[in-house]
Amino acid sequence: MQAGTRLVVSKQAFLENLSLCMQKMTVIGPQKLAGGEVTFGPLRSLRRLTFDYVNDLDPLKRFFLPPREVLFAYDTSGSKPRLSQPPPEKPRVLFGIRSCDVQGLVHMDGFFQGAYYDELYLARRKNTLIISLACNTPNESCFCICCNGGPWLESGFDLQLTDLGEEFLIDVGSGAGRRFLEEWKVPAVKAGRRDESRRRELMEACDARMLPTAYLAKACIQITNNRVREELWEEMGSECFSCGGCTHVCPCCTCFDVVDCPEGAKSGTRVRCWDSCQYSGFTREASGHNPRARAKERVKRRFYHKLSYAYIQQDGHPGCVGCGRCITVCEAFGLLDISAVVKRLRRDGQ
Amino acid sequence: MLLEVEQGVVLAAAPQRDHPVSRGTLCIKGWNGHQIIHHPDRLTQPLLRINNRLKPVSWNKALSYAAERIAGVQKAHGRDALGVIGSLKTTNEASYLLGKLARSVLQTPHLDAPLRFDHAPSLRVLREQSGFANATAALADIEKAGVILVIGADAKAQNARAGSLLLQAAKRGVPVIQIDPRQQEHSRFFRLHLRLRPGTDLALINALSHILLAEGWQAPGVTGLAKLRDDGLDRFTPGYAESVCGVGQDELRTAAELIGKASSLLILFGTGITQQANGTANVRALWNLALLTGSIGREGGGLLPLLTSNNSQGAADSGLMSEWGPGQRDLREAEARRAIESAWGCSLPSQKGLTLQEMLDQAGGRIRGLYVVGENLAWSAPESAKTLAAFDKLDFLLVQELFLTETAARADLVLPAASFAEQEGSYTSLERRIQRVRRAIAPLKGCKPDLEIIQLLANALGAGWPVRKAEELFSEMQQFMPCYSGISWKSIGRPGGVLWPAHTDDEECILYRKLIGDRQGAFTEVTAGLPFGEEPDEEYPFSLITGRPLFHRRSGTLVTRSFTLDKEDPVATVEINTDDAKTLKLRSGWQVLVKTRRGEVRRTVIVTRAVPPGTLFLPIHHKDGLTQSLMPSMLEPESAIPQMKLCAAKLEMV
Repeated sequence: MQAGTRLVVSKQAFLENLSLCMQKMTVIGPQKLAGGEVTFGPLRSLRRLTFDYVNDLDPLKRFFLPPREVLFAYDTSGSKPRLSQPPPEKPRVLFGIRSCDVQGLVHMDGFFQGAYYDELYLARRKNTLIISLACNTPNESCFCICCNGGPWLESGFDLQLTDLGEEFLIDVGSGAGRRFLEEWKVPAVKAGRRDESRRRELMEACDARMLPTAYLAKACIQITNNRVREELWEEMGSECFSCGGCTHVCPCCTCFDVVDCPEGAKSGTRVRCWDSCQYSGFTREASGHNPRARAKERVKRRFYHKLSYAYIQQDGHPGCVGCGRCITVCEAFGLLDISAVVKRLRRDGQ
Repeated sequence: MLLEVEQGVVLAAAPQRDHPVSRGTLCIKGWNGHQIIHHPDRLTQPLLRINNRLKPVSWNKALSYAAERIAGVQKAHGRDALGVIGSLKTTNEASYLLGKLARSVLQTPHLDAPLRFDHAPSLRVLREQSGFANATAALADIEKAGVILVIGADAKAQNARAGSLLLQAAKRGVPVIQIDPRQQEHSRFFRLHLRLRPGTDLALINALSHILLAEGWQAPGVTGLAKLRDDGLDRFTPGYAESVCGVGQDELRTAAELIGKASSLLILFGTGITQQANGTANVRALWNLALLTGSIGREGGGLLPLLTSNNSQGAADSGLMSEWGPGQRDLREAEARRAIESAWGCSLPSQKGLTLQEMLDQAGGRIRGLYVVGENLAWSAPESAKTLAAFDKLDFLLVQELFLTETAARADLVLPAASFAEQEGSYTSLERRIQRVRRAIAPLKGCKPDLEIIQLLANALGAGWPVRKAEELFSEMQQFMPCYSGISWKSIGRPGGVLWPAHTDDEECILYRKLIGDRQGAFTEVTAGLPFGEEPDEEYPFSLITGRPLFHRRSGTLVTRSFTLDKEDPVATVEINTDDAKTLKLRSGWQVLVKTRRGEVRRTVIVTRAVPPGTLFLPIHHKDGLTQSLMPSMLEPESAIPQMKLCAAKLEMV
């Protein structure tokens, strides 16, 4: 069995196998909270697993770059200073992650193993098997087809499932995915033509339901060639509430801050937490000078990073996977999410 | 808002998509405010002042000491020598119980909440006129308004949700009229910005009403117009307003025409008009304007004060204001008193209670002991030096807090409270939306939820209260609060909770129509207004106004301890008009001393056209020199709110 192999298995059998592997691994999957919201978290059993979701508003990058993590603890009270790191985590399975979030992880991998090799992030990536679930139904804010972010992928996952009704079609994406199927003796058989054409139909139907609201190409050209009027950036800067929501929920955003939390004079922890390029404190220098002191400059920077050719060339793709989360969380509703900005840039250039 | 928890640690906050107000959004404070929960400076043991130093003690010792000292103060100086100051951040249930403790166990009439400092006039006028001390409109009305008037408030900075809806309305073409001396970031999107002289709002609001009447633009069927004219509205001609406010008559007419010809008028207002010599008169004038346009009780119209805290409205509802008991019941009315007395099984103190600033002013005199819950008065009260001196005059200061604030540091005893993430209960938002808060993690070791602390203290004082949960107390509160009746604990646990008053769980919640109904039509008196406390003069030539920036909230206790929020605003600034800066030869980035008759603070200059000539703007609550230390504490006569929005000031080079 090689990467690229397509298999088919009954849903029930696959889930039974998933349940078995909980003895050895932490299975993270979608579950319904008391208020009805669906969110991803560790599952103790499959009882709380739900398929009634399009996506978690809280991006799944949090399982690799947690919003707050202790990098190390220090204690200088003894004769020698002591440093301790959090213990390694159990192997994990991330089950049901959507294609856009997988593509987001691929994007983040580029950052965290590029110029700087981030051991903590990469250890979690290595430790986690990605079993993604292709989207049969998009949200009203989804536009992944504009960014090669879904609804299904060719790579980036270990196993990709497509819900065919009674069965899952499985794309094997890596050796780790293959080993998982073998180790847990998942009774999958080679997919037939009917299964593949059924998947094609489902994905085409999903594509058709998605409103292609974000044609990125034109905006990329305008931004790259600096053809956006300053007045437009000025206007967008004034509109922005600097809440940082767009960056927190973006599967491609990687910004973080590191702070020391002393507990008394001799011990404490060093903590890493999410930060946002939309906050003025993010770029303020020690001298007090801030290259992006105003919201206008920060908004401009965000979209340069997402859409300019220099970054697309560096990363291999734009900094957007079309998950549509920024459309939901933007406090300036409908004005500053990426699909709105792309539209405004396009209109401005006409 | 959801909290992401791992092994008892809150990692992050996330918005709720299906919440009817937030609709999946959070403001910068929502995203980052959780950082305080595990802040290393959290208090986790009671602290007792021994030999003038605060030292950790056990809860048992702390509670018995508190009871002993409170009893001592009351025995020596009378029951009313003790004052209690509640919080706008504690739950409804804790607020209710604190009121019950003060009025029934401690038997003191002196109970008040920091709502006094921001919206006492708003709630007073609204209660007088509609019978209920709350907004007549809800946030959703911003989406339905014909025209929106924003006065004395920067909605974007103070309430991002209101600011967002306002921006969307402006973008849709709904006329938004801003009345404020200072230009805000969103001003450019508003149809009209009337930049009045600081402190002259009353003349401007009345002039708008005057023009509406003169032009016959009032709503059909509005009665009582003759009385309104006779009361003195006729004096507020556009010419008079122009001379007082410095706003052109044409601009005034344009604004009045927009208001008069719109289907409904929604008024958003903030502390810019309440913390003034005319605080109450300003809100009355707004009530008249809204009534003239027939907007009270109509969809898309009415008055919406931008209350400043998560549970400001809840504090008023659950009885933390000195005038009102639970359910906003006027304690001067015999029937209201009797109902509470029979339920609580005690008699209530009959004298009128002192308000917050009065308690501080009378520290060491009538007031010998203070119990302060969750409010850093050293920052939020005007004339900070005087406030700190007031603490020193007390025989006993008890503070219930999360952190060792400047107020807690002066206390004789500090009780460590649990944060919002560690408590059960409910909050009532500015649009009277009651929502449950659920415990995400257990209280940090050594801390206790407010509710538990108040119960333990009451029992240490011999009350013999049974230990009760938030849910039980919510039911108990409901008997005094007709507006909360019929609302189940379960229903407030749903995303968005319930807008009160809702008499059944499923009833439609835009109910102010039913509430106000035929009361519509009562105009309030038109007053000439008082001059504001301190006019600029030769020695102090500038009008100094203050406002809250986006990253701040109340007295800074929480936001200065979130590392993300704290680093957003590292420099304490003063804004000065470009022309004034030229005259004084000042440049942005230079250091100056801002001086008033009460003190001075060092600030970094921002030269801008956002403030008008002759005016300085200081953001409130900066740890490098407290803005409030400069502001006067003299009281507005009707609502006893300190006139801390503006005063006279001068600049000196450092």
